[in-house]
Amino acid sequence: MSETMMIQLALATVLSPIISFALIVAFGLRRHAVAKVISLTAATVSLIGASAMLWSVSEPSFRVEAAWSWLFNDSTRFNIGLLLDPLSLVMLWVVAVVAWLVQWYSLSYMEEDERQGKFFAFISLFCFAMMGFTVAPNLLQSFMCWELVGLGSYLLIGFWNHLPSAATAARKAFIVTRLGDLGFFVALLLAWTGLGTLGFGAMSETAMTAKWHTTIAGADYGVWISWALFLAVIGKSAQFPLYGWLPDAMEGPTPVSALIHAATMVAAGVYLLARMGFLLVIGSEATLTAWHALAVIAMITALMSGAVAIVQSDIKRVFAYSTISQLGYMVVGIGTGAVVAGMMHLFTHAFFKALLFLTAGAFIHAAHTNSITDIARAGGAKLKLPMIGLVAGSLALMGFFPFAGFYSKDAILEHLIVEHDWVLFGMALLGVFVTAYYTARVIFLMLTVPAEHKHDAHGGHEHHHLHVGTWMKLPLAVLAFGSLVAGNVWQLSVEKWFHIEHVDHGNLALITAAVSTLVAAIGAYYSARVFYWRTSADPLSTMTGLARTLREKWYLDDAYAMIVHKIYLPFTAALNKFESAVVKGALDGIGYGSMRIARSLSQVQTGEVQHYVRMSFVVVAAVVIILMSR
Amino acid sequence: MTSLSSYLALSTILFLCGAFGMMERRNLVGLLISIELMLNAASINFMAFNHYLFPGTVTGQIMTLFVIGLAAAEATLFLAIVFAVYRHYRSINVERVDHLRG
Repeated sequence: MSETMMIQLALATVLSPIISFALIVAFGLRRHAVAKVISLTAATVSLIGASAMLWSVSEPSFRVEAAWSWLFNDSTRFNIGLLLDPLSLVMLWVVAVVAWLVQWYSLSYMEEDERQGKFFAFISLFCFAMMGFTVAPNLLQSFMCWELVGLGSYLLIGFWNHLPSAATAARKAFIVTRLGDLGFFVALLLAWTGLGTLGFGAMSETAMTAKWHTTIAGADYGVWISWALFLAVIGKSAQFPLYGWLPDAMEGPTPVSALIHAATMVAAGVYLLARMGFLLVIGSEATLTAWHALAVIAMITALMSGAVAIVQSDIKRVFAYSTISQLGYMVVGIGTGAVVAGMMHLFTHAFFKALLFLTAGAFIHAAHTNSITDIARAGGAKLKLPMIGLVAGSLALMGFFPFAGFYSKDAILEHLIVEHDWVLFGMALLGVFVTAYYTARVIFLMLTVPAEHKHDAHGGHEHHHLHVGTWMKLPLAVLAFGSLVAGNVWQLSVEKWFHIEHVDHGNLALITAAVSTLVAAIGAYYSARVFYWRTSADPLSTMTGLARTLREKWYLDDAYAMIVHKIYLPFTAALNKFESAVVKGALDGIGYGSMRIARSLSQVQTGEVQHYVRMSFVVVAAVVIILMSR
Repeated sequence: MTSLSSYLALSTILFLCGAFGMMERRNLVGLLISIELMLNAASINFMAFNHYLFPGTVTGQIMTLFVIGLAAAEATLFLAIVFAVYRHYRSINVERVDHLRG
């Protein structure tokens, strides 16, 4: 495929969602059928374009760049454009696939909603933002699209804005991620002032190494920019301590959750890390340490959120915490240097997490409740396709052979062994155990809680006809298949597009696979003893302190509340007091003072003509005397 | 012999009388008379200076004619104001007219 054709294709892929957004806003807000057709058409164009471009990638050195001037004067020039390399094309394809499936699925899920037009418009906007971010050739365009992604998530999480909880969750997501965006902005400024360029290509050239190593305030640019970007990643990809917004984001419609969790929004942070992964090659020793520190944070996040998932009763929240945990794994992989392994986990995770969320959505759509036990009571286990999806997605999430998660998680674990990072490796194994435990718990609860027959007013049995929406079936089937094969697909075709030094570690891969599978199996078995056979007591029932801590989500929300109420609000109150006392006081003083002076001066104005006459005589006399005495 | 200085003394006395009346009279018509006095004092000055310093010219006399014309017009306006004030305040005491005080 020629380069121009590639660029045109990429433009069609990226721009069709925003065109769809504009068209829906113009014509489709009240005409739902029109909105659906436009949105699906645009998603299909994106999917075809992304697939065609991915198809034409053949080698790691593949790279097409295009740039258009956006802001410029005589000396500086900011571009927007496209950067098409294996990394961005794989990501673009994942986004396009998940977006297409999610929109297809939404045809059923949102069929009763009165504002479907708006929903599809927002989804299109969201997809455009993510695709624009994916192909961004420089930090500036990344930043703009990153913010647009934040806006899209805000609009979609708060889509049911008549629910106060949804409105709050949307605000929380927006504000918390904005906190991280501050870091992105700082990184942008640092890169511009220190390196003089924002382009990923220019920044990654080894000629830049000296500039990256220039020291300011005790650390080099690599370290500063890394930490600033980490803040952004921690916010967007929901890592400790800024992950509180992601579980709350479950208030949005379930297809949105699938989109946010699988391919857009949270994946943006991981993708940004992978984009900046060249720092692991040309960065200083201190930079590598910073990235490793991020990996440690992510590993802790993975364990913490995995533990919280154990006690959640809301099926979406289980998967939400699971997403945080899996994002932790991706960041661990990239932070310790395995960029490709991290991206591989992102790739496989997109399939099985989208599957799990769409499955959860199918259950919720059928049973009209989010609680796992209530879904089971309503007879959720009889829904064949969602149950298959749940099991397939769960097996992939737990990392059992031959499902997708097996390959990607093992790639990260194997890398940790190669790096001799035993602490992280141990924690990662513990994470595998926890993951298996909470994931299996969902299935076992679904299977063991007996279905209840609802009695209607006449005392007769009313058979509950739970059904899966017409448009839901295809995405579930496709994603279930994807969860099965995504790992192989990556290993067989995608992986060779990345530069990897193939070092033979002997039986290391096999040993890793055996160990991790064993650990996952133990976790699943233990979960079965507790939740399926019920032969063991729930370990949390004896550890009440831990159980309460987990139920309170490590008191993280309380910590936020405390920071806001005890520190932030008093601080602002003090500032307010200062403002009203000093600034406002000074201004008021000036006002009152001049008024008082004016009032006393106005006493001269007696209104009596003769006073004026006297005064003018005095003045004239004074003038005459002065003039004559000169 | 009358001289310039005696004319000037007369006009000064006349002007001071007018000024005093202007400041102290309470009656609006009194004010009008005082103003006329001051105008006439000025006229006398014009005539005197014309006669003693620039004999043969008529500038001062023309000026005086203007002053007389002006005084007539001013008296008309002033009396109109006096009528208006009287209608409004039922008095022509100037101290009552102080609605423009600050």
